Amino acid sequence: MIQILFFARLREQLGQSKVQLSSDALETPTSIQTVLDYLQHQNPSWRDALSSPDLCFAIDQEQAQVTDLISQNCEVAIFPPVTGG
Amino acid sequence: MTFSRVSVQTQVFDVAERYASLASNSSAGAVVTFVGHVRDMNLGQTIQSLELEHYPGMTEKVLEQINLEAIERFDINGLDVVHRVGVLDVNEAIVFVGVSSAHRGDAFQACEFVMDALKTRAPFWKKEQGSDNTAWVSHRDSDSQAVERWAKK
Repeated sequence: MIQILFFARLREQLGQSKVQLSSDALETPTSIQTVLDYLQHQNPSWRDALSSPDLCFAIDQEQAQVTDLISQNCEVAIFPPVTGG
Repeated sequence: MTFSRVSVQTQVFDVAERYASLASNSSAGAVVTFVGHVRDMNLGQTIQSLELEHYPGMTEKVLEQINLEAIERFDINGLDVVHRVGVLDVNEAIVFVGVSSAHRGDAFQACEFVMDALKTRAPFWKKEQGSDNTAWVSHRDSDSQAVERWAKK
């Protein structure tokens, strides 16, 4: 299972804070880009929000690139650029 | 051994207590503190309050990592970072960065380094409640430019 978390603007656009992909949904290892494509395919209304060019990513709470690979039991986070401080 | 502390919290923080803790080290010849507050205006809009969301777990890890980098990079002996989350009213304090060092140069630089890194790497997001609407704050290019100056050294 892969847990995917959404934050801030993206969380509101999608209307939920997380989704879980079962191990038979996607073959692993897979890239974040593949997960984005899968989610957009499953939820066409998410297409615009998930194809925003400014999205940032983390795998197991470490900053990641869209081409980075994930495996089962990973926690993936997708979010807009950070604005703290 | 350098003292390092990070805290992500909804509660108000006590600047005097945090300053006193940094200043209590007998080798601290300089203590630099920065406190960021909620402004009443942003990009021409009147702000009533701010809501801060974060990524629990990753936020603390990133802040601890930034502290480690600052300790490696500058000659400092204490570093204390606090960031608030939740709903904050105008003028409330959002963030505290305090640094103690033998000399002021490293303390000033480490404080700026931590703030620049925090603004571009720590997973916090601000949502502003204005007089007629709420809006997520956009990332500023000036913040990305500010952090770049540390890469050149």
